[in-house]
Amino acid sequence: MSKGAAPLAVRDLCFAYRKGAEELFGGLSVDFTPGTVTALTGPSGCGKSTLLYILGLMLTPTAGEVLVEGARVDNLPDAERSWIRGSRLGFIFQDAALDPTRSIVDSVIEPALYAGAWRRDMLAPARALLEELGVGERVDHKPGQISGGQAQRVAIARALLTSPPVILADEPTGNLDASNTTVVLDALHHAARRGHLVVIATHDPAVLERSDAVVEL
Amino acid sequence: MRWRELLSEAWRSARSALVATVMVAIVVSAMCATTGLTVGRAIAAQSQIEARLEEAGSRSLTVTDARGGGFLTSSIIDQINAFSIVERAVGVTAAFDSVNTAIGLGGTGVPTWFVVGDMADAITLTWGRWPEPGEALASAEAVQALGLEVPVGSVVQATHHPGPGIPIVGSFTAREPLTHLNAGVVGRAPQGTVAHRVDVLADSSSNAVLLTSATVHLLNRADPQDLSIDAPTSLAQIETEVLGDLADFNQGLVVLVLVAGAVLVSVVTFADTLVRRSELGRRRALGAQRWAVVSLLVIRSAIGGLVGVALGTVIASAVNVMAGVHPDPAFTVATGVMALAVTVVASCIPATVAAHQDPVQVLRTP
Repeated sequence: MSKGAAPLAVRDLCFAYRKGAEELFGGLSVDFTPGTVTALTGPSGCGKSTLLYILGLMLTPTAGEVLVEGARVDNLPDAERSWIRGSRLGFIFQDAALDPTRSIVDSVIEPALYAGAWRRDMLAPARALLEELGVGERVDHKPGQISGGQAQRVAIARALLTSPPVILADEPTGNLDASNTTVVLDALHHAARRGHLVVIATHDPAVLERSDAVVEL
Repeated sequence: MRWRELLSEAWRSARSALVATVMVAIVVSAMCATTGLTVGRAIAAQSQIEARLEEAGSRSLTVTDARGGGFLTSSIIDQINAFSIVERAVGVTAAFDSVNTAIGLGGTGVPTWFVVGDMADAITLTWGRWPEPGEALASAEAVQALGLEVPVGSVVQATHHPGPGIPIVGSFTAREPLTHLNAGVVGRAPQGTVAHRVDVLADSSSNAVLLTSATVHLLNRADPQDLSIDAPTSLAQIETEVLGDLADFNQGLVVLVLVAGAVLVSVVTFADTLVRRSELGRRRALGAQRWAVVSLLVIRSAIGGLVGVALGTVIASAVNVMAGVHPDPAFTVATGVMALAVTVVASCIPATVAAHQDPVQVLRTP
C-alpha cells in the first residue's frame, strides 16, 4: 500500500447482484479524501448500502476496482479481505448490531480481537473512547440496557478503537431522533477531524447538510 | 485472531448459546451412556465368554501313542515345548493300578502315572518334596484311598505285588489340563521312559489348529493309525466364530450410535447457526476470518461435547456398577474420546457452511 494514496478509492465500478440483473454505479470512480465526512446518497434502491458493502470488501464488484491506500483489494482472497476489514476499516451499521450477550466494553473490543489484539490491552483504550463519546458510565451494561443513541455511539467507538483510516457507516442516524442524530454526527465529524475518512450511506438531510463531500448515486 | 482469545470467545459464546450447548451435551451424553450401557456390557460379556472358553480346554491338545510305538520320548516332548505357540507340554505313561505296599493287594488301588518331562508342568507340589526318578507324589484323594495318614509311604504296582515299591515323598494337585491326575499317584519317570500320551497347552485357543498341525508334522508318523489326537479344533473354531460375531455386533452398534450422534450434533449445530445468522454475519463484517468463525462454532460444540462426555460416562459407569458390570476402563476412555471426536467432526460441516454465508445477505435479512 503506497504512502500518499487516498485511503479509499474506486475505479470504474459496476455491480449487479446476479447475472442479468440491473447494473449499479455505471463505472463510478471516486477518490475519498482523508479527514472528511463523505456522504453517499441517492434515491432508494440506487445502491448506497451496496456501495458501502463493496467499500467494506463484503461484496465484490462485477467490474472495476476498490483501492485501499493505493492497492487493489477487491480481488484479494477472503482471508486477506477479512484482515483488511478488521484492521483498516471500521464499520457502523444502521441498527448498531451490538452483541446482546456481551457488555458494552466487550462489544467495542470485538473487532480488535479479530485483528489480533489482546483483550487486556484493549480494555483501557475502549473505556477511554466510550468515556469520550459520553457512554463511559455504561461500559459494563449490556446493549439492551442503553438507548438507541447510546448504542450507536458504542458502535462508533467499536469502529474507532483500532484507529482504522476508514470508517464506513450505513445509515447511522436512520433510527435516531434529532438530538441523538446530532450527537452521532458530532462524533463522526470529530473522528474525521482526527484524520479518519468517514463514508456515510444516508438519505438523512441532516447528515447531508453537515457532510464535507457528497457522492450522488 | 489469537487462539487464547478465540477460546475465551468460544467459552463466552457457549454460555450465551446455552440451548445449543445443552442440546449438544445431551446428545453426546446419550451417545456415551448408550455405548457404555450396551457395547460396554457386551464387551464385558464377551470377555467372560472368552475366559470360559479358554478354561474349557479349547487350547489343549492330547496326543496318544495308539499302538505303543514308543515315539513320545522326552526329546519329542522337549521339541513340542520349544514351539513358540506352546505354553507347556508334558507326557505321562499309561496308567497302572498301585496299592499301598504296607497293606498289599487287599488295599484300594489307585491309578498311577509316571511323568515324562518337567513335573512342574503337570502338577503343583503341595506338601513334601519333588520326587527323584522312581519316586512319586500322591494326591489328597489318593492319600485317603491308600489309607495313609500323611503323604509318606510307598506304593507298589498291583500286578507286580510283592515287588519293588515306589516311595511316596509328598502330595500334589494337578494343573490344567491334567486334572485327571488328581485321582492317583504321579511319579517322576526314570531316564529313557517313553510317554503314552502328551498333553499340550497352546498359548491361545486361536493357535490350537496350528499347534495340531505342527505336532503331527513333528511326529512324522508314516501310518496315521500310530497316534490318536484329541484336538479341540471345533471348539476353538466355535470360540473364534462366537467372539467374531460378538465383535462385529459391538462394532456395528458403536458405529450406529456414533453416526446417529453425529447426525444429531450436526443438526443442532446447523439450527444454532441459523438462529445466530446475524451474530455470525456481524462477526464476519467486523473482520472475523472464516477459520475463526469455523473454530468458534466447533469449539463451542466441543465444550458442550465435553460436558456430555463427562455426564454420559458418569451415568453409564454408575448404572454398570449398580448392575455389577465392569467394562474395561480403556473402553470407557476410548468411548469418550470417540464421542468428542465425532462432535468436532459433525459440527465442522454446519460451521463451515455458516462461515461461507454471505455476511451482507445475513446482515440485510431482518
